[in-house]
Amino acid sequence: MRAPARRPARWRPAGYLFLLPALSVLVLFFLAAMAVLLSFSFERFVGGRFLPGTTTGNFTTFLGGHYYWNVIATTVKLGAVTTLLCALIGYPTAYALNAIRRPLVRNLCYFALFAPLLTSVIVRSYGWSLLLGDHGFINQVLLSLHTVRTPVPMLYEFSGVVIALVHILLPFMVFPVVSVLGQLDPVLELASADLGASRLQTFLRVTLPLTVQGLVVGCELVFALSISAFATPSLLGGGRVQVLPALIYNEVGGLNWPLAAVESYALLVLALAVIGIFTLLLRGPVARSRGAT
Amino acid sequence: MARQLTRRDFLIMTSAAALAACGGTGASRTVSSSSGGKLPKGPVTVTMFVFLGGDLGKMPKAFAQDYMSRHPNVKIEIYEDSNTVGYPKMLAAKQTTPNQPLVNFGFFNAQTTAQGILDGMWNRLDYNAMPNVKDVLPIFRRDDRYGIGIGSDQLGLVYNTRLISPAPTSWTDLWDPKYRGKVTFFDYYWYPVYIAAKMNGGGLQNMQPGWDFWKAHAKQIRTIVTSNPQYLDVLSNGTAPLTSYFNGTALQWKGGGAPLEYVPPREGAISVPVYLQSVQGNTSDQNEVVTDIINQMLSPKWNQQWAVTSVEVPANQKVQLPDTMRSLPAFQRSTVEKLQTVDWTVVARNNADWRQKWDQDIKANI
Repeated sequence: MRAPARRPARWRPAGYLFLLPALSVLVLFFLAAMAVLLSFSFERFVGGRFLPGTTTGNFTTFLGGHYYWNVIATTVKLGAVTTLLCALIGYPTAYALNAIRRPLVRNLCYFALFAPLLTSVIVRSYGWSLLLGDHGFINQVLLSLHTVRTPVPMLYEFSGVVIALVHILLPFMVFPVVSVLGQLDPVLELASADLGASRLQTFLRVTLPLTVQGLVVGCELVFALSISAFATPSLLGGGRVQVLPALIYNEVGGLNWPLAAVESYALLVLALAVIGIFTLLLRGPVARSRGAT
Repeated sequence: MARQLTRRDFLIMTSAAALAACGGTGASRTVSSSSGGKLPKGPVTVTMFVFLGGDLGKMPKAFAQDYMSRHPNVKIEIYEDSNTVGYPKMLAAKQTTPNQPLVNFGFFNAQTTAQGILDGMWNRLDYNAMPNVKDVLPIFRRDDRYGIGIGSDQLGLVYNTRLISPAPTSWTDLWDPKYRGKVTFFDYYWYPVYIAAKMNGGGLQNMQPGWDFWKAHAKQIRTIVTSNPQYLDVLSNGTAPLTSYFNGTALQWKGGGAPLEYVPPREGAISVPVYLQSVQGNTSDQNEVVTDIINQMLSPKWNQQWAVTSVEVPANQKVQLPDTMRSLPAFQRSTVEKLQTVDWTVVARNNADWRQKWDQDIKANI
């Protein structure tokens, strides 16, 4: 049967008024700030003071420096690894949460999952330092079980930062997936089973494609938050994990605001580019899932 | 131009302080007069920059309470932060609202003082309107009158007494192979680079030998810390039991029960004066009050409180130091004679470049 032709959308100006508060905040507090940063990025900062005139030297310093590209690479790597682990852990978690029928158990699980968001990032990071340190709980257990002879270096290493970020950002992966799973019509999975598909086939060919949209949103959120994380890499990276937000902070402290402005733009472009690529790569599955629903 | 601290000056300074301590002038019981009855009668609010952490806020806060009780029309608000974090905010405020500074006066280390001079941040003080200046050791007065010293700390070696024995004695211990992976520094800390530069043919004007040296020895560093609590933690729990840091902070940590000790290196510790500054953009009423406050903070009573809580050499020669303080290694004649002084203007001019080198040559290689 042929689908009914869609009516052309009507222009409803009143509907756009609802966007006004959000747009106002965006323009006032984000775009205006970015405009100020852009003007800063062309300022001259030499010998510890601002000099008259403009320069593109801050951009050439940043783009031409091997060190800065290494920092960008570390930032992207941190975002990618954290996002991948959050997806691998978060999707099954969301699936399990969705399957739990008893409200009390489900709410307890939700609480355990979202509890990290109820405490300050500083407190959480110090908590991880107690667990991951050379003399921390995890290494004490490993040493007492004779699993290792010397403490496993986790704190002040890349691995420690990733562990802490995954813990902090996991809810941002789970929540969108749970939301999409909750909207999934169970009849579709039953129909798949009736047609002879195994549970794995049903998951891979029905459930996953229909929920991939939630996964994409979760990945975008986690990636954006992890590449812009400052406190966790600063406190748990021990200077060894150099990422763009920490670099920006250092430049601000050193009063080199022009270079900090360039680095801020680099972080923004990085986030937009990677999220754009992410969305493009998953456009097919998302479009298919939309068509199926 | 400010005078640099020389060994001779410091020797004179501490001898004078010791003399005052032994002689018992009795001046510490007196409270200095105000700056000559010029204080405004209407309500005035001023914000004081106070160092964040340790006991460094005790004396300024106690002073503020006392001053406000004696001057009901004056309200002193406290802005507590590190100079590193707070100064960029002050500069931002100066650029956006030059007549409404973030703070009106306060405590600033020598490096921030020098940076502030480059940025036009400070008012020149009228020493003639400050009766207590006559008792301030000359080395703490500035020829340019951009602020006035209230005390001086020193930088040396700090180590965990449970894990390092015998005690380190030299700056070279920081790169001794036996401490490989056991050293920690604050994030952006150019002092050991300066020492390495000096020992390898360079100096403050030519730090490259120091950067090259530390780039090759970056593996000595276990971790870089970003806050004082984190610093105390890694030093105390043994993650990184050796560092270079302030005598005053280390002794406050020790006083809190941490197994830490301060050692002045045999080549000489680095002296780090603290200045009181009045900020540009104040109203005339605020400037009157700030001048009076700074003058009173330099009185023997308040300067002694500052010296004791911050464990610093006091600026006022009439200050009587307690015996427990005078017996500390940092206050011994042999230590004072070897103190190294730094041209802070050179530091301020090169700070941004050095910070980049710190990130690129050292942090990237630890």
